[in-house]
Amino acid sequence: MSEKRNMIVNFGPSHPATHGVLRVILELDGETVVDAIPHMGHLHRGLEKLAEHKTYHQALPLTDRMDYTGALINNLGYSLAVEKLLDIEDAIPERATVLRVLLCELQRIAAHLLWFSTHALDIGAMTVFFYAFRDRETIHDILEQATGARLTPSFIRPGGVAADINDKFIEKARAFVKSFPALMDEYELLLNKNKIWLKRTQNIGMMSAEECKQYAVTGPVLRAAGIKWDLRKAQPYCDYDSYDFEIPTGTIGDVW
Amino acid sequence: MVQLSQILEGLKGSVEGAVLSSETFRGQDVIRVEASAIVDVMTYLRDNCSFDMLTDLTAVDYLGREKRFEMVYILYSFEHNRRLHVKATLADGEKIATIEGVWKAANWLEREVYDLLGIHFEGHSDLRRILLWDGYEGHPLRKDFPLKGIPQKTTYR
Amino acid sequence: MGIEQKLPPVLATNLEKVVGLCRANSIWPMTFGLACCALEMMVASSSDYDIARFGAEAFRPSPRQADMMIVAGTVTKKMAPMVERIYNQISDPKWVIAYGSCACSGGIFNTYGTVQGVDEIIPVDVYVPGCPPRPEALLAAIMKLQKKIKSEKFSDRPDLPKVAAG
Ligand code: SF4
Repeated sequence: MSEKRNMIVNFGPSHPATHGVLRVILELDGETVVDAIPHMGHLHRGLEKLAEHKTYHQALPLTDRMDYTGALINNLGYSLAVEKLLDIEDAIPERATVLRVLLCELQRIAAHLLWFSTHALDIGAMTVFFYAFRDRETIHDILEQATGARLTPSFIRPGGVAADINDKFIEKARAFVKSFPALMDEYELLLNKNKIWLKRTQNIGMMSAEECKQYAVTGPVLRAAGIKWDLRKAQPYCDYDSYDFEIPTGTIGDVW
Repeated sequence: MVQLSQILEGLKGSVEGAVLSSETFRGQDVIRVEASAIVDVMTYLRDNCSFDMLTDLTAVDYLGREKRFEMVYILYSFEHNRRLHVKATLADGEKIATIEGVWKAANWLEREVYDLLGIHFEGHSDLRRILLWDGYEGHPLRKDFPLKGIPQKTTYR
Repeated sequence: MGIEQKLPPVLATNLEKVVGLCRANSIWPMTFGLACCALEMMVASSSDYDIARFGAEAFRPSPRQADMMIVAGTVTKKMAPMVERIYNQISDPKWVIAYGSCACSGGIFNTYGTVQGVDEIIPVDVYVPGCPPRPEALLAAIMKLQKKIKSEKFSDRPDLPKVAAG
């Protein structure tokens, strides 16, 4: 019998399951991935270098395009840093701070919907994609009402926000918030009994809390591993300490 | 909550001559250390001050200074909920030891610094370019690298 | 295709029209999302904008099964060789839409890492400027392209052997 050899497969950088451009050299033993060497940087556009050549305000639009699924949140991070540097944190009007939180949280839902739907799409549950994108559009409509742009608003700026919101925004946002819990139930209905989806997420890709710390992984992955940690609670910015919310945590840190 | 002074004292006691100075700017604590002692300092901070996560590792190019590069390590402690910035300066061509053995997260971050600024990390297990391709000439984040880049002889494949 | 060269001219022109009509209304785009603009391309294919109305909903991840490439997003220098190779892998006839300022001209990224427009490496049929352009703009571009495909003559196609005049 010939000696057993693993197969080397090149995956990406343009592959149906890579949203965006990532290349991975995989070593396979049958269906199991033994080793994976990622090659990244296919979207290295030189943002940092470009930002060096701009003023604080000019660099703001660049932050939109860093994580384009959550442009407003990037705007906020950048603005907070600039404000801290200039020592004008106390001069930000309260209304602006509240607006920032409002817009960012809406954007957060939209970003999560995007992640959630495409992730389900990739592992074999297509229907959710259409449902989630329908509702993502609703949010983008609302955001557009306030910021004037769908994806790259550059709306939260050092010093506050670009403009005030109008009544239409409030009306739309209220309606959305009312309807969203029912929509969440809809998504759960679509996935929670989907055998394929469950098989491909439960007990897959586990990461322990210790590993998370070693690799500096935070956010949902860290919470899934059982650590109750959220930057909005641990080191609150934008008066997040005055909002009441819970940190959901998991236990074993798998995909599900 | 540990105070900066406590950390400094402990550090001075256990890693001889490593700490150069310290400061607090807009509520952020910064410790400047000797580049040669970086691994000892990091190990001490991890084991004795419970800084269990390396949030970021980067470097800045201050062109014109005698020691032009400044390494910046940002640490976070879950237990104390605090951050600490550790800085060390390097001259052009000078090497610094890798801290991959302290936090695994340093692996890619050091590769990025190597790629964009051309700082060599001694003892790194896999020091390749990460964002640009092998064979790329120059290090884009150096201040004397032109924004539009320089013509390259090789392309990525 | 070849048979048009053996047909009498009247038939050939009519065949041209039929083929153009078929091609125009069943464009199979290839997903080639590179950056921010890819999100808007996805939106165009989802419920609200519904690209299926134009017969272009069959997004194919493999270049061999597609006949239109939507380059959505920034083409970096590292990615450029792949863009070119994938374009070459699409079988003729093929069309390209450059979607977004970055794909058209490099957009705001005039840096060492970015190709200043995909037309530096592959031929482009329709340009859609905007950062990002709205999904409607993609639909408009597809309609434009359909118009172009419908009016294409066999003799215009660079991929077919030229029929001797007369
Ligand atoms: S044109 Fe704008 S939105 Fe599109 S990829 Fe370029 S930066 Fe992103």
